[in-house]
Amino acid sequence: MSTSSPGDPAPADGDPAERLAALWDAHAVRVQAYLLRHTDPDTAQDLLSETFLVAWRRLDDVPAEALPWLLVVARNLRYNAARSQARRRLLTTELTRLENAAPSVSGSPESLATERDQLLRGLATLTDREREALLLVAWDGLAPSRAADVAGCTTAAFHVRLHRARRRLAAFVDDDSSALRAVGSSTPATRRSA
Amino acid sequence: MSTSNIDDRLARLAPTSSPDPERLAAARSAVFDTTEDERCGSRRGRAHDGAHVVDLHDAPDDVVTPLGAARRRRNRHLGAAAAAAGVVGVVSVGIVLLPGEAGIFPASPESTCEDQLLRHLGPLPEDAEEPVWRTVASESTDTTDTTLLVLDGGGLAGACSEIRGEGGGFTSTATWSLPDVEPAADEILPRGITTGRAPVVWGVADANVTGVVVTHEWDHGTSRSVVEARVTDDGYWSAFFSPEDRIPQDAEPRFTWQLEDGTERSMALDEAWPGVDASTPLAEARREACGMTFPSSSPRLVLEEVRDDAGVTFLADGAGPSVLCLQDAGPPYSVRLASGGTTLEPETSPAEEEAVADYGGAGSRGAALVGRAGDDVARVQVTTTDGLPFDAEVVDGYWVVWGAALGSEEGDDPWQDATLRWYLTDGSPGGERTVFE
Repeated sequence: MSTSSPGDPAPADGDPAERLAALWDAHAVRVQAYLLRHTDPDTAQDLLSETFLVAWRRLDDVPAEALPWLLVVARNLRYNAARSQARRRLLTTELTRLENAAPSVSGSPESLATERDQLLRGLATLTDREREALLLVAWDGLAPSRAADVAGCTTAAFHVRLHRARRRLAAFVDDDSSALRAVGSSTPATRRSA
Repeated sequence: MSTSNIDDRLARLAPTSSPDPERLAAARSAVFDTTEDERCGSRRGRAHDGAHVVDLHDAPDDVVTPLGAARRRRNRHLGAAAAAAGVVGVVSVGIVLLPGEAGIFPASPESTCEDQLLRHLGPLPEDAEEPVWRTVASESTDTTDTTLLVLDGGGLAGACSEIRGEGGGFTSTATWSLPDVEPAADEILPRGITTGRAPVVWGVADANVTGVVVTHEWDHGTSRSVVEARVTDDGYWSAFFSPEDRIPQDAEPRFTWQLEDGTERSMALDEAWPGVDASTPLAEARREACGMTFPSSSPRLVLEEVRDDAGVTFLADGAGPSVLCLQDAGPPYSVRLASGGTTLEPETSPAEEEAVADYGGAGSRGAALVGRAGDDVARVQVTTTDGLPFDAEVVDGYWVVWGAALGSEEGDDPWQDATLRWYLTDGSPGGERTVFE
């Protein structure tokens, strides 16, 4: 995946409102999905607005490749919000957040729904940092060097984190598939004994 | 399943359209209404559809952007007298100062801090797994990078501060062994405080705590710094300072925190040592950190006292068993030595003009000795084999002597062949004997 959208607005001189609108059209969905992975829907909505308001007020600072910049602003706003608001981790589990960020598509085949369920459950078992590393690459389409900026670590550290995350998620999926197969094969026996 | 197709499978789940179109539209309205108002110079109110409406006119503009280094602080007040005051450059015990190393700190203070902490901790056992650190908070200012990490699974935390410039700058690293103690309901617990040029103050909070404010006062209250701590989703709070904050080393922080119901509480650090007849949430947490299991059901706090950077807690039931805990005087109140024993039977209690030693212990960071004294004994002194005299606290028929300086990495026993002397209420010498004859 490319780290910049074809729709990335050029940072050239022009109408600021038009540039903001172009930024919104190109990246708002990504920023919203990022925020939904980390916080509840109402806070995500607020922080999404605030992220683009910061971009508006610092439009000259926004680089051509805007998505990593916007995600870092969103991340920092999230940190600020976390300091002053009630913690909601008990109300919004990691899995709930992931499901909010990647809603199932109606009409999906059952196999895809199963895979989605399995991957989301696997993601929820990872550490925050590992999950974030995977999703910045796989969902937000960032190159590791840019994703490292958003994650706040060196590119080398990010590569290590990403590698561990992939390995752990793959192991979870393998174990989960084995368990499902085991359950499937034991079902007839259970029925017979009943 | 190979790791190579994990990205592909995940990518198929990536949201291609908004996961929440209604809130996306509401956010867009909020942004563009506000920008339109700013372009037109007005602040008129607008009606929005939907229940969740945010007014962005007062949205924070001090957020750290990728190209900026503005600090995320509020409510800061520094007195003029403080601004003119000198800054104490000495850091507290437990902090290692390293010379500035140009180029050592690349883009990530977090990964650098992990390396610093590993060096600070020394070589790991061969069969130990590589420590996995979690970043609680990381903050950069124009002069200082500060990172706070906790070990995955708990038990240990560390902070690194790098001050740039000034002849290459310097780095300070502090680590804390964390007791297995959680904050009580609606309470916070300070876990670590460093002093020096880039102080770090942090702790944990109960789930009902929504915000923590750290206040330092000095110069008789004429100067103060009030900083809102960062609070994480999982209950850590932290406030970092840099040289320009000019927090004097002897300025003790005070904490104020808010609860979900809007009420506010506060705490001073000296509430950890209120004395044997008093109880505070911080004192209870500090006592709990000792992890003392008393062998009978009716322990009584006989002695609690702080000297310098260590404090002692002594419990007894008056009949036989007693336990002693020597711990750090400040957060996280790590235990230096825990010792216990059963004293002699009551019929063999010391005579009115006698003193006897019951048990003692020594560790790498302190040593303590416990005994009993007759009713006419007013003062007890123990002199180690090295000739160092230590005055004991004499309370309710017990005496306790301790010293942080008596700790020994080599496991030396300072009480071996030590001399016990006691004095009577009229000031006269009561007697002298070897501690353990």
